[in-house]
Amino acid sequence: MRLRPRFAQFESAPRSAQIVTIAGATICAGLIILVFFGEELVPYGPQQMVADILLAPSSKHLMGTDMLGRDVFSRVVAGAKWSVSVSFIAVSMSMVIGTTLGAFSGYFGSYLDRVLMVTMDAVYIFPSFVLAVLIAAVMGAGIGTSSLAVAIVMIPTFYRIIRSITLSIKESGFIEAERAIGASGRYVIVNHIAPFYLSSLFVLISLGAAQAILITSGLGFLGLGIPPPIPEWGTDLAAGRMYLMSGTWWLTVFPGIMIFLAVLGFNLLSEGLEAVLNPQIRRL
Amino acid sequence: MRSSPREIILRKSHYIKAVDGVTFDIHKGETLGLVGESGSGKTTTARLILRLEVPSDGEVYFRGRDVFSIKDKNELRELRRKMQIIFQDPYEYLSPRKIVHQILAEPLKLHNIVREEELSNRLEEALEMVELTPPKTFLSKYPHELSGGQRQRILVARPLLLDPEFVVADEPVSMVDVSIRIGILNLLMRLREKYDLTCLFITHDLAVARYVCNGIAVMYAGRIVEKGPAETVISDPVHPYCKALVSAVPVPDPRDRTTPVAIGEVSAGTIDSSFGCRFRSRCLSAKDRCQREEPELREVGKDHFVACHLAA
Amino acid sequence: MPLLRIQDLTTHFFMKQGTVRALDRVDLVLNAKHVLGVAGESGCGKSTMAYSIMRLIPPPGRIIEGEIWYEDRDILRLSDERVRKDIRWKRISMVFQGAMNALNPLITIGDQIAEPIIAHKGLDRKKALEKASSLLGSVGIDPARVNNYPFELSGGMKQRVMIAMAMACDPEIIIADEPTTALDVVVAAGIMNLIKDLQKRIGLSMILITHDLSVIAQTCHEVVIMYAGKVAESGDVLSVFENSVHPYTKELIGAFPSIKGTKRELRAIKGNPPDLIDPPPGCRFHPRCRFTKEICTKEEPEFKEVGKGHFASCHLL
Repeated sequence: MRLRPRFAQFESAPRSAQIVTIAGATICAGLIILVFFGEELVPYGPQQMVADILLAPSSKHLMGTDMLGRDVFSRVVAGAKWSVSVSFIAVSMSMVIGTTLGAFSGYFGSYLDRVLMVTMDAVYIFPSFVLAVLIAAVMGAGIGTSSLAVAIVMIPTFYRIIRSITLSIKESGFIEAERAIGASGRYVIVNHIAPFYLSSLFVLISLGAAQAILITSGLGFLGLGIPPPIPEWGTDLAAGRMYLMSGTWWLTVFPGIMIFLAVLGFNLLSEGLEAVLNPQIRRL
Repeated sequence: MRSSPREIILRKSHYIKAVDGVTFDIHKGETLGLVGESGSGKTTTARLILRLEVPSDGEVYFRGRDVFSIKDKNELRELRRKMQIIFQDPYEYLSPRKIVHQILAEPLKLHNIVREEELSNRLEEALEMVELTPPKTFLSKYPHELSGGQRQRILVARPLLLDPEFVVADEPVSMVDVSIRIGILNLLMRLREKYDLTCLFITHDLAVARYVCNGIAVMYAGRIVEKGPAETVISDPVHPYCKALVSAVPVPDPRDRTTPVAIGEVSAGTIDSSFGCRFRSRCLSAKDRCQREEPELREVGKDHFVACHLAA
Repeated sequence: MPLLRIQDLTTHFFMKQGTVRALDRVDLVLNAKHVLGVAGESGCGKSTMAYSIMRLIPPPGRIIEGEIWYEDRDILRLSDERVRKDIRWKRISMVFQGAMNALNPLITIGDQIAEPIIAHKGLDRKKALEKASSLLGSVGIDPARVNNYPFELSGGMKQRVMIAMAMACDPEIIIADEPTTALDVVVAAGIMNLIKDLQKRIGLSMILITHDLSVIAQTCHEVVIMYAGKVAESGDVLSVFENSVHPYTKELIGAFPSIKGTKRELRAIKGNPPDLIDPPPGCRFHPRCRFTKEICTKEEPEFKEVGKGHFASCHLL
């Protein structure tokens, strides 16, 4: 992956695109730091009951404590690790499956293509969250099903875009030249068409991550996701709801803010990347 | 309004035969020019010969074997080595994201022709063969860093790396600047001599065909209407279309001003049905028989064949 | 008798990468009722010249210097308004390159030809369509087809429509930019025949721009050979073809294979077409010339007369 041409594109992109990309990248970078170094940064363990229950935010407990006396700040930071990792696993699965299917479907066409298109369309049309809920409900809550549900929901997006790119590149002259010298379909896809996927994949991955975090939190909120006592944002948010009436806002607001920031960060990054890489994508 | 031949051939109801009953032989060492306008079927014929398209009917025999009967992948790969094509478009037919080194190394790697250590040498030899010197500077360039003429030379070098016996040259100079054309044509002729190649040279330019080819076959609407030795077809055309074609080619001599032979205009949107001579709607000498019966190629002189009822 | 006289025409394009010196001090004369051929490879400036005459050079291009004398007026010194009202399309019109694709697919050809007539001559639609009909006849298309749409016509016919459009306001001069590229040989010959015919019948003066010297040999009275934005040689067509003086001219003529005459090996012009942002110093052709001397690499040669009406710019004269 050559990065230099990408930097050149970044420099020549309009101001707004640059700002959006940097803003998104900053937030995401912050999240990544939390994922890897979160445990070092927090004063307490996420499961530890360290103080009285339901303490308001203070200098000792930046985000207060929850109904079991655990430090909310520590939980929220630890939650980053879970939410982001699960999302990334899901996005990676989607990407690998969706891209491979899209590439072969686009290049070889015929029955495989027809069947896949219809299947993917069916999944695509289904409202993503509802589908995830269905899958999780059927398979039972848990980390595994959470990732799987999210992954399945996102496969069609990768599939369609990669297939579309494949279809248009397939008609190019230099692809015909490859066939003429005796290259097999697989060789052509991997060596000559795949490089054109990169720009779109950058965008799709960011977008996918945002969606994945949202769905994972959503499933957690409904009790269908990652089970407690794992500090997942959605689950914690749901748990904190009943305390809202009595004025205990910190149990819901902080996890909520984190979900918001994570989704915002990835969305900004994907929007920015699309604007920066757009001429490349459009050239397809 | 033209669809790809595969589409045309597979459609059930109305269909146009992009290539219809085309038959010819090319002997070893010969260069046959396939001349025709866009839509005449010459490009499709070339693609079919190389098995880049699938025919509805007919056979292509290379060294006595029907190209389309080969099922085994390895045999097919061997065949591809022996039958190669030089493409027309030096802008579209080179991968924009690969450097020359990768582009040229690819055929060698795909067919396991050369050992890793010898690769660079072989590539440099190839570049010198197409007069791109000094070779080392070209290896690391991207296609967009090269001029049109230089890119065309890469398009020539690449298939020849496989050491083929038969080469199709598909309008190799039509997208290249005028001052560069002769250079590339001369190069092709030198290489043909050196590697003892048998060629099918596709072009719409009769003057270029005369310069490069031994024999010429003229195509019109998917059929060969006249074929014979290059000099004969050009100096003594028999088919009305060929007569018009030859008279229409401008000569770079201001003292030799000729008026082209007139023929009817093509009317857009009409599909010529399969009966009768395809040229009849434009032919000024069309008779009754031409409306009903499609003429076959008949010998009218030594090795000179014409498909026209008026010629026999 | 000179109808259009171009002197020292210089047009540059100011791009990010540098200034493209598309035309540099070009001199040219179009004689009344003659066809002047402008030949050269792509990038030599021939299209730029056509657009400069029509004053249609878009930014970042600009005509920097020069005079174009037509009817005792310097076109380059007229206001945009004046050029639009008096000159463009009414006195000088143009058939553009790739013109066949310039037709609006949703409007009949009659209406498209009538459009400039209505705009410039103030005729009403009915009269304009009548004129359009008769114009179709003069370009060899059945006048009854005035209500056809472009898709109903073949490539050659569309090109004829473009010529009819250029003739709509009865101009004195028509500039044709590569009118036969992208057309079949037979159809192209028909178009060139039409051009010759129109020129004789109506007394049109034409500038024919093409890279194909054979076409020029067959149709033109005078020819200008351009290279890298400058004129290499110009004069009447017989002199330039038979008594060529400039090495580029000789090589260019020698680069066209012919279907007649004895078949012989042709010689390639070595090197590549030059970069117009940074052209070679001195004579722009010197890196590709077989006769280069030291002075050629340093000084630009003068455009001198070498015979009656025959000019060339080369140090070897």
